[in-house]
Amino acid sequence: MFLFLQKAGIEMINQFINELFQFNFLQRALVTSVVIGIICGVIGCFIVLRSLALMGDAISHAVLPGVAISYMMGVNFFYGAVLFGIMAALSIGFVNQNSKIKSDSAIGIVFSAFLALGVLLVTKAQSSIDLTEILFGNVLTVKEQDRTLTFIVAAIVLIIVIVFYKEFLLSTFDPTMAAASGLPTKFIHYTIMVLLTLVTVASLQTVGVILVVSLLITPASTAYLLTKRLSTMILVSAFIGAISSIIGLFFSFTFNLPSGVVIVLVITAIFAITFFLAPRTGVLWRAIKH
Amino acid sequence: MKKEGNILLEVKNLSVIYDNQTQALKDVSLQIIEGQIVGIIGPNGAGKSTLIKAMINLISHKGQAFLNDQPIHKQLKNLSYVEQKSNIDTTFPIKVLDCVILGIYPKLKPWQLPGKKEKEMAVKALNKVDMLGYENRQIGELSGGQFQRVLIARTLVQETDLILLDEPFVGVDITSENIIIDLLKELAQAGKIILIVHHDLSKISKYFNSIILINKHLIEFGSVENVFTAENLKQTFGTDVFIPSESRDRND
Amino acid sequence: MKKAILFLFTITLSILLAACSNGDKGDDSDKNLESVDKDKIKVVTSFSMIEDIVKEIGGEHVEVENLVPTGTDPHDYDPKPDDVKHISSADLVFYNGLNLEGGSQGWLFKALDASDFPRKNAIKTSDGIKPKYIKDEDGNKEINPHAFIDPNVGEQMVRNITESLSERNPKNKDYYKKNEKEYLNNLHNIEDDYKKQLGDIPKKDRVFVASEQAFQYLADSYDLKEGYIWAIDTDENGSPEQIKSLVKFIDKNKPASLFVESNVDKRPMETVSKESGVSIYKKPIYSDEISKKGGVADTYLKYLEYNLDVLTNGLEK
Repeated sequence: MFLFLQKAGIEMINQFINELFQFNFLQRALVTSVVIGIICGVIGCFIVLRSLALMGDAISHAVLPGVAISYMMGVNFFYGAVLFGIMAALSIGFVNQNSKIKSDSAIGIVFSAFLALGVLLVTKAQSSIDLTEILFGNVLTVKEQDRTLTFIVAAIVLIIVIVFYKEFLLSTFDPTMAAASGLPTKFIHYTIMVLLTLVTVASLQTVGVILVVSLLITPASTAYLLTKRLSTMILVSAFIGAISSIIGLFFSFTFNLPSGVVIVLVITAIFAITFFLAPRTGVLWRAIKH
Repeated sequence: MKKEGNILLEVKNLSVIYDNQTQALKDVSLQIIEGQIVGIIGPNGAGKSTLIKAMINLISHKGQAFLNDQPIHKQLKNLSYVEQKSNIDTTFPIKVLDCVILGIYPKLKPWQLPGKKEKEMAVKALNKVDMLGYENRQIGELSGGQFQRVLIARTLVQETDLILLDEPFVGVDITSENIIIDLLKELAQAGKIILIVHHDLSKISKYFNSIILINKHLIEFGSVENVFTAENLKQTFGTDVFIPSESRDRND
Repeated sequence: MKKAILFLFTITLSILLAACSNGDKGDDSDKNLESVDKDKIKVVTSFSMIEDIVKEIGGEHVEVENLVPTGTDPHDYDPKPDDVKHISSADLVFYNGLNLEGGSQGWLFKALDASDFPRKNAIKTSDGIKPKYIKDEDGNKEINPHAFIDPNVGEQMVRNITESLSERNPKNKDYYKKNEKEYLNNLHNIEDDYKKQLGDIPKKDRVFVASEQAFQYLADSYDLKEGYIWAIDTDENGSPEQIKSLVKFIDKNKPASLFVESNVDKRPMETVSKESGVSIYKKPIYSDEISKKGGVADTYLKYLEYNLDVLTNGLEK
């Protein structure tokens, strides 16, 4: 039985590789997904360590009105989405700092408002917008323009994170010492918000608005359980993002399933395995040790 | 005024108001010369941490602090601040050595990564706090005292004239405590100013040269012998206070 | 530093890779289809109705893959990996047009572009048909995609399909033409039936009420007065205003029965029926699609015949 599965598995993988060579659109989908998996993994580490997971979720939903307006104006969805994502981040910050509303409430208030506005605009604009694609993504039909934008975003994100790694590390780990030694912590926070928005919008293509948060948080959280250094955490997280995209696309192509949701399930499976079996931190591991 | 080579910390009329309503700190003025370990003493909510944070510009305030005749915000590279260690997330993925190296960051350019030289400095500092061998441990694996020592090591590599510590002796074992206080005395001998927010009234004479008594405003400031009296304490704490006997002992 | 260089290198590499894999989309200036000298050509159809016609005309010389299955809305379809694979290896793609598949910014064209499919091999089966427009209460104007409900339109589609098959695969041209002749024979009989049976109904009774304004082409060809709840399919299906408006129409024009489509939510029409006192005809009418295999209207011809039957019986007083 096991031998049979093994043989079938190898055959499917061969088929997948053959199809990769055969179909251009598969290659492009793969490259796009992997790049998105990597940048989500990288930024996701800062989101997780700064407890901004809810914020990440909020921004991914808040971009909807931006996408709708872009379509209505005939502009690439990217620009509208980034604009509204940043507006949402600023609004949340504003509510936070100018009232006693707690931060998770502020997030809920702002993003639900943006989301509702977005749905309203989409239904009004009707025929030209495919809501399913925005909500769930479809990496198979990504336009060339959007792919280029994704690569530009990837380059920006990676360069900034590498060059300012120390500053990001210090301000994330010990914001008090960072401020005391003169680092512009507020500016760093808003830079990360902008990078988060860019990455979120780029990821809409693969997994859509609803599931972006998975790509941002789960690989990073998995890496968190496995590493003792931030630099390693970032590398592991990016790796998990990339490999999940590849495995997810493999299953999607082989069994004719929508790619975005399969990628999310693969990421979750990797997290679950790590959760139980990771050395030191895994639940089962610790149980066995005792 | 500033003598040649003397470090001078001057606080002028420092006030802090929260939310446009609560006066957390009113009109504190001080002058501290070099080579002192100064304890900041007061009841809960007296504004001890607030005083330090306002001094180094972490919270909005009225009035100013000066280091070496310059406003503090121009001297940030010359001070190091160790916050209450309970505020630090010890599950963060960072190893002991890297944590110490963080202290060197202010000296590096943005794109510059710490190299061999910086690693050596950090190892030397770890040696001074007797934490050699722990370089590759993740900080969550340390005890309270060990972690406090690591934070002190981080301060050492910063090589600053002014050191501010917020409740460094909370949850710290005796060994760590002794190592830390010996090191601080060494630094004071070398002329640094060390301000410590202290959490209770134990071991005052053991630790400090002078103390600041504070309860939302400055009650008294001066040498331990002069200021640490029952009268002053009653004024600070509002009631008769029990002074643990050990602090009456002369330290040797 | 080393890490940084490695990363930057990787990114530059991926950007180059991506730039390289964007191949030439081909010269679109030559409108004529290149001939393919195969015994069996690969054809992809957008939805089931077209699939049915292509299979009838193409017969044993076509291998047909359909994209949108019956029961799914062809307007909003999310192409799966197999769909894009089929398009990539197809010789011809047939689609309805008139924005049924989402229009020029819709999913079908995106899928065509993603697979680098030459546009000239994507055939609009509604070519040559004059589009009709529907307007909703906010004044939004839209092309009505449901031209095929009118059998005359069906004939044009059949001719377009045959012509494209013949041009692309001239080897089997005679075969395709023969099938077309036979098919059109049957279709002409149906067109005659439509003309006669609907013509027999007195003009004042030719009032056709359904949920959606899909039957416009049919209504115009055969002089029916069309009443509907919603014009354009949005989320405003069955608003109180729409229902009131239709009930007024019904009171004025007194249709014999109301009709409800096979693939819509029945409740709005049920509300209209209760309000106006006119009952809904017992059988559903088919608009957007043919029925599943084995159903009463599972081919285009059967669909037309079935609809005619429902119409004439329903409008009989």
